[in-house]
Amino acid sequence: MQIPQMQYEVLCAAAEAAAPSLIRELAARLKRDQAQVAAACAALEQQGWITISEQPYDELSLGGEGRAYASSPLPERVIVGVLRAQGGRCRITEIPRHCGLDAGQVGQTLRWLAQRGWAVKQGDDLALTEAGRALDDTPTPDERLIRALADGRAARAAELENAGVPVARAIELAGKRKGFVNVKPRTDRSVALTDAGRAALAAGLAGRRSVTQLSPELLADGGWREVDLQPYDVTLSARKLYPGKEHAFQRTLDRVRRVFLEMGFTEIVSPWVESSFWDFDALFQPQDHPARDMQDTFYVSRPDRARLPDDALVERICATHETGGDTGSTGWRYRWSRELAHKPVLRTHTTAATIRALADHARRTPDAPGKYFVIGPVFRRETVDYKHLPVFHQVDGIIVDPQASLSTLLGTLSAFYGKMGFPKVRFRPSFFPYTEPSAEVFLWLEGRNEWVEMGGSGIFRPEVTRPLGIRQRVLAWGLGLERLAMMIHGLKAIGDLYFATMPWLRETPLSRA
Amino acid sequence: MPIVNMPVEGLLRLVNRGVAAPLSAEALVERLHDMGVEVEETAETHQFVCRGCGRVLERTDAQGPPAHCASCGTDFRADAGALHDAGRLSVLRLNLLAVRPDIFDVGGMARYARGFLGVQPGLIDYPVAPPALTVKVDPRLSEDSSRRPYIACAVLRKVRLDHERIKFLMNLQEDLHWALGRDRKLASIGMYDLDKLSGASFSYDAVRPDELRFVPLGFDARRADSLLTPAQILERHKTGQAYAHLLRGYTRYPLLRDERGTVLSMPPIINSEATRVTQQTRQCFVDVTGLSQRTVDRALAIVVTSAREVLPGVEIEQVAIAAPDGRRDTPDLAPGVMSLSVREASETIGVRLTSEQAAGLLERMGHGVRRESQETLQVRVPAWRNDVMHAVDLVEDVAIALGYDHLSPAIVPTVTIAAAREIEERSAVVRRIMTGLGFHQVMTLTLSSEPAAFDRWLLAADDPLRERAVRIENPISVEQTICRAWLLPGLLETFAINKRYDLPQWLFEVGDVSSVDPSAETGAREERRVSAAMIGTHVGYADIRAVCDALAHELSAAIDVRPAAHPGFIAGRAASVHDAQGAALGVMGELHPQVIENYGLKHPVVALELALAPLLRLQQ
Repeated sequence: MQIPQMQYEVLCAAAEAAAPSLIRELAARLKRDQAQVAAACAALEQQGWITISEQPYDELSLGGEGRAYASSPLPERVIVGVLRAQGGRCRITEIPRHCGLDAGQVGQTLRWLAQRGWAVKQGDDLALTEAGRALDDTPTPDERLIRALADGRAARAAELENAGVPVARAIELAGKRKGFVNVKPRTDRSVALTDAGRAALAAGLAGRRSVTQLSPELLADGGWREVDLQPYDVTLSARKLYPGKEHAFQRTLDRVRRVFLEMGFTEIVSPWVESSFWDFDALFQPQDHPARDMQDTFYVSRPDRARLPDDALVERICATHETGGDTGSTGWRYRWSRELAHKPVLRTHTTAATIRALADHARRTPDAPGKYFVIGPVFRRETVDYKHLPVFHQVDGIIVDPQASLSTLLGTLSAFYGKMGFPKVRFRPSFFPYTEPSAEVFLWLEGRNEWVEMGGSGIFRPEVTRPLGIRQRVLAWGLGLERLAMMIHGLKAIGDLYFATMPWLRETPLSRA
Repeated sequence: MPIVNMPVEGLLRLVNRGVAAPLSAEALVERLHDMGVEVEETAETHQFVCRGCGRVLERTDAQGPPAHCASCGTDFRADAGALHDAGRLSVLRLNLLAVRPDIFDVGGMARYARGFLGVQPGLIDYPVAPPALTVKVDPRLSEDSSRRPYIACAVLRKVRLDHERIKFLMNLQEDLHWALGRDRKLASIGMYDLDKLSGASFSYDAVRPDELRFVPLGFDARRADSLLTPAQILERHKTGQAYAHLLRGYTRYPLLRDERGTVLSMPPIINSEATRVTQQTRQCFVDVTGLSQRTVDRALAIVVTSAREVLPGVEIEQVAIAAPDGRRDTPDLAPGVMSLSVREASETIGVRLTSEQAAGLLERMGHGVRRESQETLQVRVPAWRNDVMHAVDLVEDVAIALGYDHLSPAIVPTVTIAAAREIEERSAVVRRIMTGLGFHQVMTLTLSSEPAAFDRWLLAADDPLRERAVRIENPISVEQTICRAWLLPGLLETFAINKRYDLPQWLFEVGDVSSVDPSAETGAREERRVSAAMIGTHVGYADIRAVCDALAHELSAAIDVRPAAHPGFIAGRAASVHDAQGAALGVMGELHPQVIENYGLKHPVVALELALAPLLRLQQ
């Protein structure tokens, strides 16, 4: 009969030994790993071929405090020395002046002096007792224990007793002192052959080779039939493995894009370098509006001039700013400058893309409905901090529709955020120069228990739509995406998206988007 | 949006004036939300009074006592006795829309709340007495030597003031300076003790910077050296220094004087000490000067009507303005008149409203309403509202009065067919290929700088890539002066951030780069690129070549690889990639050790960057 090689070797070794053998010693004798030998023993005991017996014992070693006293006298002895020199008594507060102990150490030592009966407190003084006066250099049991363990090793209690250390008394003395002596209960396990084991060996047993890796050779020559494939601890985890991943923010942008496509929107694009005309003027932002300041907007010096659309449109925009034109508005009542409209900026919002799409829609099919969206970077002259970067992403959308209304605006944005996993959306009156009515959008953040502002929305003013030739109402919104992504991916700083570390790139789970 | 502190007690007192069942502070906060007013928090503030000018300065505990006076500039660190501690006050911190300066003060806010809550709906008609005083306007104020042509004035009679009310008047001016005046540029406001002025004919002139002297607010009139010329005030007075830029380039400065020549103020810089408003003041003269008639008129309307709300018994009296183009009496509190179609309002909001309902809602927003027909309302818009230009602005007021929270969200029922952009769809395929190859995507900033994008890559001074970079005229940091012109610098910067993590690291980015293009409408255009880079002990040209070939294969694109010279790559280990027609798509190879060193990296790097649209045979 064949059994695994390790078990066979252990069984033979147990048979050779006259008395029960410790597993530790067996492993040493066989030059095998102790854990593997222990595993083989457990299997053999299951077979009934050996018995395993356990002998508990205490293992002693010094703690930090104990190690310190291995090379210097106990503080009790130091204080006895001081008292003797001071004629048998001394004010407790004076003791530190006569030795290397500080007041704290002296205080802690008082109870040990009392316990040993060497000195007692008398008012503010400490006085030697008879035993204290008679104390000689003979080591106390705990001092002997410390010396026996001074080399830093751990020793069995029985071993120390044999060497003459009164272990029980020593532990009684030292056991309550913190960090003095550690006592660890341990177990010796030894194995002995049973009669059944002896009989099995006699009946003729052989070891079978045990193999870790199933090799192509073993498969080729059929050798796998003659070997044991060692079992593994399958509960252990293996090395970390990460698939190549799309960036977490990309996954959020994709989801936003997918949602708007699902809702029937047409995807559009517009240039980063934009004319002031499309970024501001077409959106009825007066030319002295603070948002157009050098303070807030990046102006572009190369290229230094953008072309304007056809004169008729430019004229209508000009008239709308100055007097309201034919839009029914009072206008801003100032002199509009064509030159300022030529100035290129880095687009400050993706509404520059939607207003272009609206103009295009007006040229082709002014009276047809339409839905457009854009996702892309926008640029603001912001100082970098944990919430702000000079570049961030927005999703802008417009709906041109005869049934467009404030209610359908709120409904569309609620549907969008619902699909993004944020079912609670709230709106608040707000102001933008190009929409009226206007609404700010807030999401309820379950984890933080607060409303978080996401962006602006509204119905384009007639001053925006009429000059383009649109007579229907147009819903519009511009929503920040970094903050949404930070909420989804649990990030605290916007920079974490753009200055990513490898661990974050590798570990952010793909399930979050 | 500005945060404005409003005293809780004071606001409640005004809102509850003559109300049978007064509102509690909690109920008020709840209603403010419905009014579209965001209450940030209820806070405790400390009130300090400047003994120099009587100004009350409100500070939170975290801010501590002020270092100097915001109105007269007195330095409290030098003169601790000039600061009087007037105790604590509980305030609402309100986040308000800049377009509603008429509710920035307790008077205006209480007026809005009383209308909204139905206590006092409709347009409030403030009695205004005809003018007794005239202000003559110097035509030179319309010239380039000193451009501040517009002035509007008013007199407030039967004024009773205390610390709290003086603070109210000061804050009112300051908030309007901010919200309407663009920090005094478009409009600035002054208030004076009329009993310290003489005559019935004042003058608003353009004077030379050294033509006369007066004692500016906050300076001690008993000291001889307090008498300063306008030019000296701009140099020596704290407020003068702070606003000197508004007069820069002018050879004459605006000056407001009474009939005897006593200076009231030098707009938009500072008032005179002699005409200062104190607790003893019984009659106020108010002026607003500025660059826009509309703004100046609005600011004055807000000041006098809010003052009338807060100071009971005050009488508003007009002032005749004798301007070069004719006489007008200010303030002009006549409402603007607009008509509103109820159907249009209903459709815009998405609820069916009757004309009675619409009229009621508008009255709650403080408008006067008359029904012209079943369908049309004639709306009288208060003179203090700065944000009503078109009937749609009234529609928004109807929606606010109705409450955004009370609308039923819906979806437009029109079916439209979605259309995705091809380059976006294909970019997703490219990302799938790259992640399949084991690369991690990064997203880097779309702004960069010339040192980061070009110098670190050893590009020559006349390299075309440099000359095509889109350059920012007013960058905010040296690190962001151009739009990114190519992607690889971003990947290398990411390697630099990740020096302490295990190698190899394989990164890619799919994104746009921008460059100058005279044929483009705005002078520049974007191009979609893919870039990839690998860093590790054993990476070499073959690794990146394999990636390039895999990309081309998966995209079914035929490519042609030729030896190329690029300063950022090792000579003989760089290649240019071309499409089947020979057009260049990009570059790949082993990075030059100097480039690797420039990023502080210690291992070899291989990289590639290709234009996507031609690789995908797409028009971009």
